[in-house]
Amino acid sequence: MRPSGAVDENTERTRTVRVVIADDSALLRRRVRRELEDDPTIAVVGEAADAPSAVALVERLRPDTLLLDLRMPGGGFSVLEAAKRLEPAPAVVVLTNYGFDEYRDRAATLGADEFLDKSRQIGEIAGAVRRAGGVAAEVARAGAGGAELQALLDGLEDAVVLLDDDDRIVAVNTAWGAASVRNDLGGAYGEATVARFEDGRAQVAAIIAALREVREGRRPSFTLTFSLMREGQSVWLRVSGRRMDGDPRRRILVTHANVTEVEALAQALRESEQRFRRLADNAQDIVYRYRLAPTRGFEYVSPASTAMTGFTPEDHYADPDLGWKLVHPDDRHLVEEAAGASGQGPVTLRWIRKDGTEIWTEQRNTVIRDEHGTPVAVEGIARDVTARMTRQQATEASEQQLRALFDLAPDAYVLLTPAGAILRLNHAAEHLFGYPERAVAGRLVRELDVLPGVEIERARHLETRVDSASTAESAEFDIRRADGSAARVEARVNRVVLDGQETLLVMARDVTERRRTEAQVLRLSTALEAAVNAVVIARPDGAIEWVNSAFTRLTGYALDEVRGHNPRLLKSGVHGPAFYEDLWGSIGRGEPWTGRLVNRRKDGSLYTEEMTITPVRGADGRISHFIAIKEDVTAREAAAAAVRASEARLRAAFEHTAVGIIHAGPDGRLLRVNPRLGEMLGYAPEALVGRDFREITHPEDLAANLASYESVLTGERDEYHLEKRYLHRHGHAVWAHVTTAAVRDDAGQVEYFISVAEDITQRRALEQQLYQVQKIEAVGRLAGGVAHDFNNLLTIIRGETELALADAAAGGAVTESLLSIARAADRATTLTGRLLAFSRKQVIEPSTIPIRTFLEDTQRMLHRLVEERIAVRLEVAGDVGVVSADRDQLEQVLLNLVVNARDAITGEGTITVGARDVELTEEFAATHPGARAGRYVMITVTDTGCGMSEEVRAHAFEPFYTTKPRGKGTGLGLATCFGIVKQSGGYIWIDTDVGVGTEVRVYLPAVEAVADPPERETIVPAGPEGEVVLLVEDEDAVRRLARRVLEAGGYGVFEAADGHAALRVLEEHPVTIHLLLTDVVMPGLGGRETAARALERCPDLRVLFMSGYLDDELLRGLVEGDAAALLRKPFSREQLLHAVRDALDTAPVRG
Amino acid sequence: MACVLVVDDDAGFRTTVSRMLSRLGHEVWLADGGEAALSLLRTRPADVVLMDIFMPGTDGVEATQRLVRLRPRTPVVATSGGGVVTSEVALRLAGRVGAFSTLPKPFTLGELRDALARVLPPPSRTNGVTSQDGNP
Repeated sequence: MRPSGAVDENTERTRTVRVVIADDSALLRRRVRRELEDDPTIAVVGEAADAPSAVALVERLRPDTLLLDLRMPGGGFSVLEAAKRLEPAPAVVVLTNYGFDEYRDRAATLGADEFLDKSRQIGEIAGAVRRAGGVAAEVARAGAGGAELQALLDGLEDAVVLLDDDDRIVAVNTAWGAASVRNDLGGAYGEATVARFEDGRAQVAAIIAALREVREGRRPSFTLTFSLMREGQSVWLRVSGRRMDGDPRRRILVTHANVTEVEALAQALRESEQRFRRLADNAQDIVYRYRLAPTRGFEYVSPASTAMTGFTPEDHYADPDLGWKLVHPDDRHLVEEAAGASGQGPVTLRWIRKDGTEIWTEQRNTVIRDEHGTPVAVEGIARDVTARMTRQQATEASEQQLRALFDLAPDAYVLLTPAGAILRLNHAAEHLFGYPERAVAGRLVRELDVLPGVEIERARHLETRVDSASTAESAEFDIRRADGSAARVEARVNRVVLDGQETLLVMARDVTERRRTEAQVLRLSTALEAAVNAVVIARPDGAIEWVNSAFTRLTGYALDEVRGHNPRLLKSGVHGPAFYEDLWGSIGRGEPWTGRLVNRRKDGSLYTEEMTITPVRGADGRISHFIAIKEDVTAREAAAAAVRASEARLRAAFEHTAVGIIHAGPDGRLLRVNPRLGEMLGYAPEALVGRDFREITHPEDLAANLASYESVLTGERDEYHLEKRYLHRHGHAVWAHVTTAAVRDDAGQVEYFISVAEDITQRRALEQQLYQVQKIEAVGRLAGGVAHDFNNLLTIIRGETELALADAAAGGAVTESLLSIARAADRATTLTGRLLAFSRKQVIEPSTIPIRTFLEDTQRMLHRLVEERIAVRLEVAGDVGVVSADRDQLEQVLLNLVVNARDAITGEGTITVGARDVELTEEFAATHPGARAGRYVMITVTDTGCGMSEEVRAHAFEPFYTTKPRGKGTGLGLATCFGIVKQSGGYIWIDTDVGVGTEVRVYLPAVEAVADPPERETIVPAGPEGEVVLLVEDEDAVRRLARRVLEAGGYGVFEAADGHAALRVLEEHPVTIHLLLTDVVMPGLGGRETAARALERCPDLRVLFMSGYLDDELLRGLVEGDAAALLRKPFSREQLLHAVRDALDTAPVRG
Repeated sequence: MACVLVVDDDAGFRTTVSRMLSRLGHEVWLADGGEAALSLLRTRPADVVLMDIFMPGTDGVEATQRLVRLRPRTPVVATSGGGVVTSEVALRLAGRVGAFSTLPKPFTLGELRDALARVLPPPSRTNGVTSQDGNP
């Protein structure tokens, strides 16, 4: 819309559209000014807030355009008229809020050029200003023609045409249309326009008529707005014409503006307005708008007022105070209050109609404010609510009556809000609950502590049931009164609507007494009916009135059969007349009678009963009834007898049994013990009662005992068997096999324990002896085998010695003899080791053992173990690997397995000892507990013997478990094997089949075969000069031998025959001695003690022990104490020298 | 001089006894078990057999029994250091099955000589007289 290029500069200087804004809203003025300031062709030159100042301003400033609010204080129309009276007149753009046709039409008549909806079209204001005022102003100012004018005109959007006084076209702008310009110039305006309008002849005629009026001076300008169809579309055009003032040629400038968009909006607004108007006009309610400023008065009142009040809308328009006058004088304060509260809520008040009658109306008003917050109008709706109000009043009257009923009702009524807050109590409720209404109104029921916790839930339940059921359910509750006393009430909850509010009506009735009585009666009759004992109620003359079902069960007679009869129908004839006389005599005197009697049932059988007859006296003191209670004691008699007999038997058993019996509480305290237990432990039975079983249990067995005991307490099991030692009063152990069982209560808790303790001390002693015998026997058996070899060796030694002595005497060579002797001695050493190994006192010396060689070496020994009837075969794979184990132990394992195999074979058979390498898979490990995957050497001992049952197999590795005849097995063989194999990181497995044989497989971890250490004989280390050994040994021969070897090895040697002597030597030569080589077992000061004292004196001293016999104590000492080395006797020269060298080369024992 | 067959499974023992017998002037044959001894004796008779009792395979008792049937006139001296039973029991057993004499292990050169002397026929009468003469 902005003019372009060269024109702009002129615009700045000469063509600015000068605008005055006349509107009472400062906000709007600012808004409009901001809008216009964006446009450089427009300058706002003044503002006015009311009509007089607007008129003054326009007359003074003579603006090109006036923006005018018609509804401004003082009246916009007067400003419009004043403006249009000016010469030249400014263009007037009317700012409207409502777009009412009346305003618009009137303003248009007065010469308004443009209309703009304030609320919706403010953004278009610049355009409107330019449209309205731009051309006129410029034309007026620029004078006739000229390039500037043409440029200006060409910049306009609207088509502009300048007409001479003959309505011929003098000039057009480009918007008129380039194509048509040549034809139109000089042509008649009417014809050109008809051509442009495409058959808008009627419209053109109107324009021509208007032009004529302007030309004739009847009006300065005209504006016509009409619609046409152009290219199938409805187009709104506004055609304005204006006489160019002061133009001698009396030319007229005509503008064709396309206002389709503006008109469409205005049209939409008009339609919307009409819709609203129709709605308001047709509403039952009165719709109105009341202006507050600048003058008060109705702006609109809908036609419904006529019907409702008798006053027409016109009456209202005429009288601004009619609204106030309508209100009932008594209710006028409500209007003021509502206005004061400025609330939007409805106001209900009375109106006085034109005919003087009253109606109730409900009004909703909205105060309309301007941008300063000043109320400018009130819009509202008034509705006739007379009918409703009348109903309400009637309700209130009946409520009065209901209230009286409520208050005086005999039952307690309580009104509650749905949340449980107390609204009302009637008198009965006040009495029942003990709370006066004024004390509790508004409080929550639960705060009052009327209902105990458990009842609250039930009450809620009842309340929720109210929601779902139309009829209230009743329930009984135990309540607590204000004074703390309890009562039982029957309550019912109803949901009622009071004053439009949902309310709970609780109706309660005190049923305490009634329930108590009922309960008692019920209890009594139920009790009587359900009683185990037969009950008979009889009249004083003996006639039966009532019997319970137990009576029927007892006698076989039903109530109907005995009612009215005398109890004598039960008579058995067992008792004589005197018996009955006594009975009747007692009860006749009013005394109760108790006795046992034999009666006869309906079926003729006899039974024994115990009967108590109690006379009951009436209020007059006379006997009114007899009540007889009968108990069948037939079964009881029999049972009692049985119990007595059983008890006697049990007691006898308890007292005289050969096993100890203990009753103990769950805490472990003895409750009762039998004499046998006392005897076992050396106490009187009473002396044991009250003690804890822990006190009389051997400390070493306590842990195991407690574990079992706990497992029963926790319910893991119900009983346990245990071999344990009790402590006898004299302190020695008493072995017992104990079976303990728990007796539990219904909850599963242990009530008490019963233990049966069998004294097995004797048996254990025998077992111990047997074990010793077996051990000795086993040692003996092996010793026998060893003796065989030993005697051979001794023969060799003696023989060769004799030969050598003789040869030596003759000056001959003795070497061969001595070599034989040495070999024999070596073999003897091995034999000794084997014996020691068997007695299980040994040093474990793992070494790498090639299994093939090992088995071949051992074969001879195995042959010796088995009789001729059994063949021993060796099946060893050629490539079988190497294991790391103690050779003696491994031999022992093999021996044990072969012995077992031998013992399993009766008659002839075969034992096969095999070996091969195997790989244990993860799968195998998973299914064989204790096994681990890896490479193993498997040694198998397979026999063709009797095999083992599954039971035997399961226990095979348990110590002392044996299947061999008494005296034949120790039960330690496999256990030992197991221990040794486990210790070597291996795994042992038994595969057995009864009648077929057994294969025991021993898996030992395979290790890399290492070359045997180089033969030490070749590199015997020699002691450097100055190294001195203190040799302590009580055996002269050994000491001499060791000294010779050490001296030959280059060591200096001090000798001592015992520990004390050794310490004396140290005393004398504290610095020069480097190594203490001492026997462990010596008379007097032992080796370890000697070493300890020597080290105190010489901390740098190295220590080497030697011993031919290693006991546990020594081993322990070696491990716990000093890290000294150990040399086993017998030793060779090389072994001694190596050990000494090693000891000297190690770090000092201390420091 | 006699020809003595030594039957023993212990090689070391055989070596030493062999040396002892040589020193006593005897010819010595060796066998490492009962079967070896029997097969040897089938081909040539020995003057005396020194028989160990506890041996694997055919042990001394069985070997003696069979030897007595094979060569009834060849005296057997049973020798033992004990084994499954003590040496006395073993030797008694050997005596019952036909051993002429027994010699418990260990034994000395003198004991060996005496044991052999008890079963070997005197080399000659004079020798025997001499012997008797030599022993007051």
